[in-house]
Amino acid sequence: MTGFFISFIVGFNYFIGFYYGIVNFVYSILLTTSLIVILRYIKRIKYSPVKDFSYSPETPPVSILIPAYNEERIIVQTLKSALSMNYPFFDVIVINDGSLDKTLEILIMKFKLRKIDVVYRNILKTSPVRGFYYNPEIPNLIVIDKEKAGKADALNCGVNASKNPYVCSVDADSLMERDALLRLMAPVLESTIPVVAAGGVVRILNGTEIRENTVSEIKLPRSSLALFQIVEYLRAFLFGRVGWDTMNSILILSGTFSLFNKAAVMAVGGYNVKHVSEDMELVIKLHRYHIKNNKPYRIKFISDPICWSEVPEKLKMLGRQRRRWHLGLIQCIVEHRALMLNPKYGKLGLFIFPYYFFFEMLGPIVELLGYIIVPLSYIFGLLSYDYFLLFLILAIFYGVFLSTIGVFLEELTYRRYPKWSHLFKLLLYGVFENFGYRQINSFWRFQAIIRYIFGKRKWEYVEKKGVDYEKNSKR
Amino acid sequence: MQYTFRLTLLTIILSILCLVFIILLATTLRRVFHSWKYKELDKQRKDFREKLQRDLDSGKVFQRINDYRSSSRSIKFQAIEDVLIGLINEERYRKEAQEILVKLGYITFYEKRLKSRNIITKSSAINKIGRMVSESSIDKLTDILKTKNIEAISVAVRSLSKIGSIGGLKGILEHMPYLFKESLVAQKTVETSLTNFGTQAIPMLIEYGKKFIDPRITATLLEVINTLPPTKMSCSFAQDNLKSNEAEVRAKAVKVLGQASISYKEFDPGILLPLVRDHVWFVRLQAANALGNLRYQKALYILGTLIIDENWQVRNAASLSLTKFGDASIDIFLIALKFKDIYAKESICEEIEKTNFVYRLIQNLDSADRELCEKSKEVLSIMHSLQFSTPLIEYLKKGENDLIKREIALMITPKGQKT
Repeated sequence: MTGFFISFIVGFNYFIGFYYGIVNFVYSILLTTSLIVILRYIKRIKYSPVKDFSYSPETPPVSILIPAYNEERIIVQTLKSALSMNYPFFDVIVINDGSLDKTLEILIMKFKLRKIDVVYRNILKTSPVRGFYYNPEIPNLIVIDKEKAGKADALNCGVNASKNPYVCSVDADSLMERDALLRLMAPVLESTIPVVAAGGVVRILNGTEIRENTVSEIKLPRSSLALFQIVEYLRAFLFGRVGWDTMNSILILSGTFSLFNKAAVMAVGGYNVKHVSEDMELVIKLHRYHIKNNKPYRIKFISDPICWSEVPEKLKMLGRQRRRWHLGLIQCIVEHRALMLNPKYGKLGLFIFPYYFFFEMLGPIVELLGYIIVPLSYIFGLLSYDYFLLFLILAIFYGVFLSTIGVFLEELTYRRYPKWSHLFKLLLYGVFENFGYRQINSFWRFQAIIRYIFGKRKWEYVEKKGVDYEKNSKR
Repeated sequence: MQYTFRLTLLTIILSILCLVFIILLATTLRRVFHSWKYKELDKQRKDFREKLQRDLDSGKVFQRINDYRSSSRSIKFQAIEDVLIGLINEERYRKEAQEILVKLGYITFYEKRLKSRNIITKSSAINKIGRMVSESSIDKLTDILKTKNIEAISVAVRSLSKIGSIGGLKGILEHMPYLFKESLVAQKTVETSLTNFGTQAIPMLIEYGKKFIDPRITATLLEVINTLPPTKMSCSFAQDNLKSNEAEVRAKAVKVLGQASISYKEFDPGILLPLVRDHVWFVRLQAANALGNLRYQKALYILGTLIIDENWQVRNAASLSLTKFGDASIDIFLIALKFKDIYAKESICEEIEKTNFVYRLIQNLDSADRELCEKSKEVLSIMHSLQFSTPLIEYLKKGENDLIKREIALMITPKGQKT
């Protein structure tokens, strides 16, 4: 028995080394490709036709969908930001998902809306709609009031109500930059292959200064938790997603700010209301549908359209968010398990899906077990001090490397954090991130797995501090 | 074996550590360099802007041209280029600024780069030439339109449009058949860029429109003409294309006429009436929009046929157009609302509500004109039966006119019940 135990422990140590090696190998590939792609993209921006699209008759109309639940404090600001987009043809559909606060009343009052009846076809089945609100003086705005059934249901309702060929989902606590939609639409207009979905970069709103419904000055938040998330978002968006995009293998487009072809969304049955990560599930369905039906398609990630969004500053709320994200990932993988190692789905089935399963979904289990077993192996003399130390240092240094490269990519490209203090703070947090923050994240993700196993699969509501617009806004 | 493994691990760790330090150093140095570079660039831009303006105003700029010469890699080169491009946008300095760019060798420098194999370098050069409004480079840019690279072609089309001269326009128009054959992207770029040439382009657009047989080209040219200020020529060109075999062309021609004819009273909107019966829905859609914009009284009844169209977009457009005719359209709505097609009726109701026409109907309930009052009541009753009752209910709650409220109450109370 002891022999078996020892063999298991030793085997596990080798497994950890192997597992860790593969993960870092994939990261290194993503990093290299994204570095090349971003640098080329930045050079191309100089002669990009984006500005021409703002008056081009070829620019397709878009519906901006804003699902809102208890957003009375920020909805007006978000809506004003959406209505002030630099885009030739668009409308905004706010879906009040049974808010318990005064979200609807405030919208009616501020935008002088009147209740009207419109032709609404419940093609993607949603919970009952209670009413539509409209002002002929703002013909590109419609507010839908419906019974609460969650974000996915609200988005489906918006898709049903949209009369445009493209829809763009935006969170109610987010502010888009004026050209963001135009930039997001650029690949749709420039690509020779139909682009069915496109996502942009989400940046952290906490701490920034807002003027005339847009971010006017970028400052870093005081909260350490928000700072960690800035580094994390830079890494995820600037090299993770850019890297996957080069292989047309993006599985995650942030629901905070993504564009979809409406016909494609309808064809796959819209957002799945049973999923807590409805955005990821929709993207997987789009991949699956197009590959299965042999239709050429692209799902694009573009690194310069920017949407600013608030992130949680409390540990408890961040924990809820991360558990939800991981639960969503598990749900997607389980639901679409038919893709796993299925050659019919090409690289998606053979590489991308297994990667997400083995390294993203099961990653927290391996990582946490590693944190327990590796030190134990050392304590019981099954692992030499040298190896233990070398592996520990390697893990930490590679983590630091990935974090700093995220900040470096930002410096190399968009430089949204202009002050020296910003740069040093972000680099410092990139280092600190590996001592505690990363581990607690793995713990939350591990919790999500346990919860999934025990059937706790409900959406955990994330309460955010709320950007104080009164204080942050300058007139 | 173990020793080698340990050494490998140690090497990897040290490499990563080195990389981290290199990144930190590169980030810091880059920021230092950039902050110095842009500070210097701003300073030089400011200095050269003042100097150039002074020399241009005094007419001594060409005597002092050597003061502005520099190596292509220097900050001075970039600063002068930026200043001169800025001056090109100012009418009074435009010609001299262009001439200075030529004399200082900027045009030659970027024209040489047009031969580059690197597509980014090439496209950047094309873009720069466009921004420098270099008319002498038109032929070289036009040559790029003959190549296969879509990225370079798109930038070249845009640059030619920035140059804006007739030569550039001619270059694009002559290559249109090839560009349209090559890719959809090039086609879209052409459509967007041609609008930059402004009204002066209209005669040439029409000339080429008549010359080409490809209906996609004609449709594109009509779309471009539609975005430009209306002229008599545009009207007559559009009129000539109303009977085209291609639906896209007919639709665009109607669109042009719908816009242009508002300014030209001699144009008879009656020629658009047959298009209302076109077999292609988007032609009917444009016809409905155009006739509504023109408020052409003779179209009133024919628009009525479109509000029960099989296509919802046409129905909505026709309903919206009809609401622009005011009370005169009530009869048409009344007839249409008695048809069996529920979808058509819903479209009508939606537009009546969205355009606030419904409030006009509600106010008519108190009109001295009994006929108008009865007709409005009938329309509102039908809307109510189709569950488009919200404005009525809202008026009952918040309205001030008791007579109207009584009428509404009678209307929405089920028969047999007391109000």
